[in-house]
Amino acid sequence: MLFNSIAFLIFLPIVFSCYWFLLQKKIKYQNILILVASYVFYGFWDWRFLSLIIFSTIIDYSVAKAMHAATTQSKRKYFLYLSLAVNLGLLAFFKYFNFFIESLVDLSQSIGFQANITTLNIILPVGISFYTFQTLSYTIDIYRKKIEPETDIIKFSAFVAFFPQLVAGPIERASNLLPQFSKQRTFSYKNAVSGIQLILWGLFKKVVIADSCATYVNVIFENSEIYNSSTLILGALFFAFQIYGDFSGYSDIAIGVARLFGFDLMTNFKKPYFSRDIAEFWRRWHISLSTWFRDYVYIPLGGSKVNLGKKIRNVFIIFLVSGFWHGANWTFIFWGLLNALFFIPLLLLNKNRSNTNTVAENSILPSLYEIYQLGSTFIIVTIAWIFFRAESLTAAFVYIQNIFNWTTSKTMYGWNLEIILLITLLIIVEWFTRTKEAPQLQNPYFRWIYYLVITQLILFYSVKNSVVDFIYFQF
Amino acid sequence: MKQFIKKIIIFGIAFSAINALIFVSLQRESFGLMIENKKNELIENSGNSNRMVISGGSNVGYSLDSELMSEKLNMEVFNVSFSISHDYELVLNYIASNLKKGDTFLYIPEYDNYYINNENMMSHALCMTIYNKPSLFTHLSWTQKINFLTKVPKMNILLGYKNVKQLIAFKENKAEINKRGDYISPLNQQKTWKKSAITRYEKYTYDHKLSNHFKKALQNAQKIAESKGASFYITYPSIAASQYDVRFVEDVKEFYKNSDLKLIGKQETYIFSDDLVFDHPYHLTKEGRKQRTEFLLKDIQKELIQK
Repeated sequence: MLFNSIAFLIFLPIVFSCYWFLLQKKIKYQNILILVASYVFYGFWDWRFLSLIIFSTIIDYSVAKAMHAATTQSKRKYFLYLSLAVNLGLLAFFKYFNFFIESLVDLSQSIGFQANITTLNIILPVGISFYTFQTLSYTIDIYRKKIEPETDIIKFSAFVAFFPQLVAGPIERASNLLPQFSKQRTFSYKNAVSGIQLILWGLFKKVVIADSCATYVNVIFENSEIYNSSTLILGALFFAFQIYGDFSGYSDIAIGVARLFGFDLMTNFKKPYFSRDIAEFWRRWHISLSTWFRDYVYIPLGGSKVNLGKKIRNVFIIFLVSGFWHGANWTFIFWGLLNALFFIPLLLLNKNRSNTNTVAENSILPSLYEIYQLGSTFIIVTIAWIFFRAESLTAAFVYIQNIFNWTTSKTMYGWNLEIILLITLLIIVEWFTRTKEAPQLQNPYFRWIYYLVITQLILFYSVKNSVVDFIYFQF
Repeated sequence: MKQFIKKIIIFGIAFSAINALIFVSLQRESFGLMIENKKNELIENSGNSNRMVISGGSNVGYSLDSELMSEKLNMEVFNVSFSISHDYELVLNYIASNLKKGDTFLYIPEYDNYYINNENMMSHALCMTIYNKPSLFTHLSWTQKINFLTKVPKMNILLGYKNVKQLIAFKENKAEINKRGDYISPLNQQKTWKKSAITRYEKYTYDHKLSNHFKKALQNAQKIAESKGASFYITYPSIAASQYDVRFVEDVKEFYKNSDLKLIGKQETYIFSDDLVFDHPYHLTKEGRKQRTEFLLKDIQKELIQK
């Protein structure tokens, strides 16, 4: 079920009403309702893959209990490996099997062998990377004795399948989300209002910005050889805003919906395009994934408390793994590699933590130097996005090559004033709310006008741009 | 909680009220629907009976000479064509409901219609028609009604935008119709059509599954027409020779098999040389229209004589 669909518009009030009116104060039944609603939400896409979520849930629930009860460290390790093998095995099969086969065939052909291995027609289950990482964090934290295993299967199942963030995050930690299923939830007007504000702003970013950009991005990237330089630059810029609007929009809606049910999810985006260097960008973009890799990959490898060579190795590993997490394509791996290359100089100069506050924190507008920093960071991020969006590495290199091919014989396309104005509006609003999660107006009259206008715009663009899947569903 | 629910309800009411206000207050003529208005008047306000009402997609509007037909058949002939984007079910129900005793309803679907399986189609053209004539809302299916309501905010913005454009004296080119409903503005224009490399059959994005929903809509229209003492006939559209595909023959034959729908003429009669095509494979030039009308007259007269 998509957040921007009629089905969800009907689903949400029904679940909300049952949750607060019928089951108020009955925490057990509220959890059951969340679990059922989450399975319905997921089953709307393809009910067959519910079995995968249920399987993962049962495995991790049982493994965690067994690990906790284990008397020796070797047994604990055995259960950890079992959980890793099952979860990563499922992920590897559904997401990477064909990629490995194809890469193997390509490799064998390049060294003169003729390998006849066929790929399988595998459907990628929506959200598999998200819920797999969420359950992995649970078993790893149990192994590290950071948390106790959950004994209530309903609570644990609801934690794994919690519908607001099931298919595209934020990737929650058990230590943050799981205890919330045990706490008595009381309706908070303030939280509900902030939830609605986030949902509206998230829908605006997704439906108005991302889907409007998508129309042009798809055409430009699919036919990049016929378009001139300015069009290709525009296509890359539009994609930068498309992916931001799409993914941060989804996260905002997820956090907003969770708030309506009394849950608090972690922040996933903190205005990443207002970053002054690539390290700051990665502290603000897809925070739940970046911190996951930091806690479960980077730090176990020694993090920054090792010698320089190992530090550089660790940075490469997390960026490459992060790229590979996004998809079974060399484009994502190269995208990760590029980001690592952008990051390494900061690490070498020990400047990777020099911009930890918000840009122009105490002033309305940024200084000229800050504008330069923001602009240069945005440009390198956008160059990397070209690899993220392109169908293949060759296509991405051709795209970049054509940007520098100054010819008047090619077609110009996509200079749509409407979209440029919408993006400008987004930048202005985000700039003035850069320390907040969503626009919040104090004056009640302006606030109501804002609600009415933004709803009108969302409905207008949801009809204008046909419903588009969230990009991150494919990961 | 009560405060939250109260505010959500107030917001819902305010939002609906604002959109309803825009819906009723904006100048609809700027939506370019005068033609449809006039066409509605042709069947709703015509006092005569024993009329022939011809309808279908733009093929009917652009490729027929109703004046000539009226003269030869010695009866009132009205061309109440819409476009392929208008839901056939709504068009059929609307026209059949406005028939009088002794009327003849001749429906000419385009070949595309036989493959449209989307029962809940709610195109822009259809939305605009509902804006233009809200009473047609009752002819929509439930899903279409919901679909339409979700599109109201967009249509309101579009309509508002058009109103503003009209305020600054922006003039649009609107097609003109004669008193019987034929589009006449293209008659003196240069032909602009360039033939496509593929036939109309291959151009469809659908799966070529014959539409059972369309068949039911035709049968229902026939039932309504007959209950009013009118008769209901179906015939074939004119089409450019290069865009016609013989696969239509079998498909259409299969479509009408075991149905009591009354068909007039043959497909091949209405295949026209590309030279006679105006701006679309279904639209004919002045000469093409004349020829098509004569062929249709022969088929109708044959049917009437048999009757």
